[in-house]
Amino acid sequence: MTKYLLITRPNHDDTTFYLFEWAKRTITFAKQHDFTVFDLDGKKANRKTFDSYNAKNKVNLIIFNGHGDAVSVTGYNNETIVEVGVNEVALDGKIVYSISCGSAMELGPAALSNGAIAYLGYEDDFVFFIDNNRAATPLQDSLAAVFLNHSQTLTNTLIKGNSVGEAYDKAKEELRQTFQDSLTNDPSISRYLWWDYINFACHGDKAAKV
Amino acid sequence: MTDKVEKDKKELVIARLMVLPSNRKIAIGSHGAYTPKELIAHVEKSDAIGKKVVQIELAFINATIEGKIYDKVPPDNKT
Repeated sequence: MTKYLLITRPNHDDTTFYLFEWAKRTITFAKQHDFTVFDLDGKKANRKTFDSYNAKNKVNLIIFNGHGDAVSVTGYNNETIVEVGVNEVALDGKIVYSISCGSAMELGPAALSNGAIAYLGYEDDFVFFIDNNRAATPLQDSLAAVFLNHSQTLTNTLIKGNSVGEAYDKAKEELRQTFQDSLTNDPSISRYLWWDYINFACHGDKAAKV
Repeated sequence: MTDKVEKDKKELVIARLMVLPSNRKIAIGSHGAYTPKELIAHVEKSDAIGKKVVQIELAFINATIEGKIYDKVPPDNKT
């Protein structure tokens, strides 16, 4: 049975450009695993396009890349795509992973109350480092990779058919181990890895699979 | 006393930021990506970004004092 991934990839600033590039790997991996991918890249990461693809297709997995806060996730130029009290019902029946700030705090639970299967994300600001010498080629940035690898592990594990709980536990453990290693290898980044680790959250049905 | 504590916190965070290589930037949520020098300015101003950086540092310090950073914390346990 065909599975559908809807992914937003704005690229209007340093942060979103990094996530934009990193998400290319997720898209490739999904296609290799027979997913049909709706890639809302750049300016296509807007509310209207999201609503259109989401309404016309039985999307199984949604990945939001971009900014956000406790109650919303945003797209290109920080246009709100999903917001508590407005359209969280758009996530009904989906497994959602939001690589953005804070939305797991309130949008996640609200989405679950409106039928979302599971919501993974961060309950406060997501932080990562950028090596300025690699800023034009994010996929070559091994410093950013330290912070972003766990998100790739999460999405890959979900795409391979593992449960939400398995994917989350694996990614969380990877992030924990990365943090532990940093205490010896690069303590200056440890506090920021710790922050991401404690705010990385999973709500909903952990037995669910895409 | 409170003012001194706040001042001490800022000084600690600034000291941490000063040892970061200048070729690094830190992307902090929706706020943007900043060099260590820019973050120091924000911490000194005690604006939203500066307060966030202090909050991040304090979370780490508290977890260190409580020994939590050395534990294998259950995945769902937010500390």
